[in-house]
Amino acid sequence: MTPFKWATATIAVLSIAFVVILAVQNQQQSTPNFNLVGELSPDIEGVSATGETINLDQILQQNRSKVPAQQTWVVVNFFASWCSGCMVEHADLLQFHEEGVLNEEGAFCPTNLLGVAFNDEKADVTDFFDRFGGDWPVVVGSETNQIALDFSVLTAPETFLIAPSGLIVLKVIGPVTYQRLAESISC
Amino acid sequence: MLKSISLRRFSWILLIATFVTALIIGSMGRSGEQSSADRAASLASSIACPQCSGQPVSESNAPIAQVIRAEIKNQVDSGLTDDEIRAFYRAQYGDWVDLNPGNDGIEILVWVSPFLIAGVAIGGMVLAFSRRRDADPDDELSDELQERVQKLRATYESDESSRGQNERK
Repeated sequence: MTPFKWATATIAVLSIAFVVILAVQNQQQSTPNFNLVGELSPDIEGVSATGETINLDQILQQNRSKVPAQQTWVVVNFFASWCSGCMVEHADLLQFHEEGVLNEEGAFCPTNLLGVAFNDEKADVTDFFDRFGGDWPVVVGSETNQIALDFSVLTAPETFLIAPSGLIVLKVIGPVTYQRLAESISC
Repeated sequence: MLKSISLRRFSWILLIATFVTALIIGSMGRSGEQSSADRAASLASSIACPQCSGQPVSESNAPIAQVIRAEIKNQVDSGLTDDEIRAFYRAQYGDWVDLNPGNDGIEILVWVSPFLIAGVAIGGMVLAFSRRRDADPDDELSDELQERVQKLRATYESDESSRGQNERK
């Protein structure tokens, strides 16, 4: 076998090995916190459309001084005025905000609903709430991008239920229902 | 003959010089500091939109791509390095969103294999040419080959003579 043939054969073998390795290698080499369920919630710090300061960590820290039945569950809802799924779920969120969730003994479980505008403007968020109702705080402004990325959000609507301990116990991609939230809360 | 050898040598020298110059210029990269906007644009073109199929965020109009573009700009302005920014998106959405292959593990092959293949190819060519040059034209033919040459000559000569006789007739 001539050196030229050796070189050609070596290149061919290397090329084939390279293609095979790329084809069969595991695409995902590290596990991203894409799901987030079972993990501690990222913090949310921002200002609502009405100028109220919102701090998720503060809400969760207040839980430490309370008995379990009085600790607050937090629902974080990423939404946008341009998103049709957000209009679909809005009635359920209104019900959750107004009626709350009762435990088996008929007592209220403390809950807190926080909205986060996803790729949306403050004026459009205000218009949306004027049109569809609801007065829960919604974080607006440039901080919302970082918050959405911290929660690995892909699009709106996405909803996270955070237990009083700070652990995320539910993630809903797409419109959330009152039923889904209520059955996941226990106090 | 001398002229043709010089010309060939000159071609080789020119080829090698061009190759080395291209390598040096290529490895130098861009001179000077990149502006924040350039860095953000470069990162946006090499981070995939998590909602799209392999499309970089710079080319996608998906809402999440717009969010990532805006956030990359913030991250660059706040002093994060390119590696830190890439690591953040890999952690949030998975390794696949980083469209630039890494320089460790199996991904190092992407960077190394072109040099490896070029090295083997050049080595093979050098060996092939040196073997051809080393072959001595004055080497004596083996008995078997000499016999074959004589037979071929005899056949050729007899063919030539029979053709000449036919032409004369």
